[in-house]
Amino acid sequence: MLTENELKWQALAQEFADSVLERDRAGLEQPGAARRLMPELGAAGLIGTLLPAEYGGAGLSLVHNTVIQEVLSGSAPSLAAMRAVSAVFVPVPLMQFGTDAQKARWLPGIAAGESTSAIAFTEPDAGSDLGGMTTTATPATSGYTLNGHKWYISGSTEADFILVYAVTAPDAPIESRLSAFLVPTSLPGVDAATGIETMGMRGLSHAQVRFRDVHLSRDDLLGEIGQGYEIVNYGLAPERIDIAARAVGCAHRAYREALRYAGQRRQFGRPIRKFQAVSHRLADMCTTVSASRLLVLQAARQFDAGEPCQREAAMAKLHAANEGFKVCDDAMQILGALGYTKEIYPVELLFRDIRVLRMGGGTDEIMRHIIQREEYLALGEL
Amino acid sequence: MSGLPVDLPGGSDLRAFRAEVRDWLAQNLPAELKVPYLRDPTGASGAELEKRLRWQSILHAGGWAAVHWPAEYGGRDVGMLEHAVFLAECAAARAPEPANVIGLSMVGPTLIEHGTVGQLALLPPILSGEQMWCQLYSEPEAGSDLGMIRTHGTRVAGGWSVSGQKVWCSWAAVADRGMLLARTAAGRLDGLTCFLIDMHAPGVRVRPMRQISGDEHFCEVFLDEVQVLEDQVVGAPGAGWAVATTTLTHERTTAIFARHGATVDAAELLLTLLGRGSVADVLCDRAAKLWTDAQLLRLSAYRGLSELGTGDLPAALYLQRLAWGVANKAIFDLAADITSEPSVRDEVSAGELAAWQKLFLASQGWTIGGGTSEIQRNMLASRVLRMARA
Repeated sequence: MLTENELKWQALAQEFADSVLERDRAGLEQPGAARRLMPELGAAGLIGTLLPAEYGGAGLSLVHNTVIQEVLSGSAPSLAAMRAVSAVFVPVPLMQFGTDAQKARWLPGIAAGESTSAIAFTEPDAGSDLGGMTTTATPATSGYTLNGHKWYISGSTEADFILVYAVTAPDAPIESRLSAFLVPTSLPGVDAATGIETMGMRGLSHAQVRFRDVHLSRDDLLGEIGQGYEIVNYGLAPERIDIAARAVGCAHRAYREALRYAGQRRQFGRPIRKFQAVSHRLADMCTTVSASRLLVLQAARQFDAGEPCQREAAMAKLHAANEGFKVCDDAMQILGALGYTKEIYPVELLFRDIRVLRMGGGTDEIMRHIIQREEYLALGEL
Repeated sequence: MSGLPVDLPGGSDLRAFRAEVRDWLAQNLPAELKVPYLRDPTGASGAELEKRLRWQSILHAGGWAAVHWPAEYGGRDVGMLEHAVFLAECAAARAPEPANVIGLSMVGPTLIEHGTVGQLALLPPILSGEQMWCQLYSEPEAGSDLGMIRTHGTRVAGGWSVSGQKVWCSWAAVADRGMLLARTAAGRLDGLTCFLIDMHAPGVRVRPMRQISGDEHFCEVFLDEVQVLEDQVVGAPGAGWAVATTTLTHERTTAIFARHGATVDAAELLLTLLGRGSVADVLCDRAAKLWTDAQLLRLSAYRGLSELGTGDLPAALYLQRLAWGVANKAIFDLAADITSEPSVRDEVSAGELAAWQKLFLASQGWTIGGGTSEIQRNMLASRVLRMARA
């Protein structure tokens, strides 16, 4: 199923997880933990995997990325989430739409893990519906003035720059209303200090980001004016495939912990795996994780082949996140109170961290909408 | 929760009792002690614990701290039906649970049934809340299977020396005393003895354990040659399992009745969440189903009460613990989805959002603690469906 090269990168990621991430699991949820690990991850060559060598990357495929993300997410979902932005969410649109100067300015740093980024399009009135966006970028002398409010922007407090989507043509249809900007967080008027406390993914920030009269130069515009919607949509499929891979990582790790535990834990004179209620549950968990992984690989291979994959990406995300959450829940049930506490096993952390993957990058409901829309498109009935 | 939804046996006497409870609550429950609609009924610390202690002292002063105990021990001699109605009315009035819930609902009834005259002297401070209790049954190797208990009691001059480790002990961090099961003879369930432990005695060490919700509502308890006098054995040495059965049966049936009010409230609040923004139809669908499930949970509990006789517990009461855990997990999981909708999130305060999130996490333990869902299903299969064990 995986090529020799893909297996090699999987092993590299596993080595990093075993030697770096597992040494201090409790520390992985400390504020800023993910950011502190990024240089080490970059030094191991595990961030810029999609980038060409000229920008410090390894020139690999999205399949390689999913393999790496699955491994990292099983140990440190927060780190994998931060890596996702640097490895996929920003590089993919930047490589497609950016100028050589922009690529040279930003990509080597994030490939090395020396700098990080974030993506900002969610607003209080614009989550699933981008049409509700109110952050604006208005023409100004030699550039643009950015004003607005984004929230639940992961990694924004630590970020060196943020890929911001803003309205540049308020009266235009959505397809030409938005533009994308690469905004250095050091600019006056950028405020990403207000953190939002979340249930999971605590190793990286999730902040409100306010832009008050931020002056952007023309060099900060990504692509063309009005190309924002196209850029968002271009990045959605690989973003969702990455999220799905991370969900598989959480679920797989939870399943493996439950599998081992059920073989060791003895009650009523036998290992609890000998009770059908437990063994059949484990079998279902194994099947679910494998199915999710196959959906992820299918979508990633289609993306790498340049084939349309909106439906496959949505299916992968829907299944991996939704069913993966149930796997984590089942793992907690099998481990009992040991799965419920923070003492020994990572199951409660995996349970908390996977939950957001059912929402971020498009909710389960949006994924279902996409799948059905693509199906009817294929039938010519839309 | 207005009106009794079914005709319960007991007729006018029960109605009169219910009215008496309502009147008393209306006059004696201070507004500042009322619990919020969104609440975790399974544990408390800090300010919440103080409220529960204060409420218990009010209950005690009014003679309502343990209605199900015999009058001679400070109770009101009511049966299970009246006890359930009392708990339901307290929940409807949004009264907190009394702090010494383990003492009142588990230890007290156990001592009344099995205790010596000297041990019955422990009942008044349980009632007043002056002595807080915890239960010390589970161990790292003995969760669902208490036959695996390894904490051992060895005879010494004047009593016993108890050593071992207990885990998942709710309230141990604030308890003065504990009811403990230890092995005093070889065997499984037949080699156990029930001891009353002074939690402040030399050799007792309590370590709170942090849960997924961030709370520390239960603890590990380490016992290193803790000296226990002979008169602190409940029942006979080796008869601990019979004692424990009394405690566990109560924990898994009537005690859960007090929590149905919180479940119904949470389901109602789900519906109000829907009205605060623009929410996908499928989420509305799920909310409607869960609201219905919460009502059915409450109605089935009353149905079980209406079938109470002198024999085995009705089936409807056996499934309460199981259904409660499953229903609550689903409610708070849906709340997580609804509150992730931007239009709703904008209308929800940070405090309310934090309350929903915390309950989502806390509810994951409600299909585990007090008997896992799997154990509950085993009990249903064997005691209600009369299915033979494999």
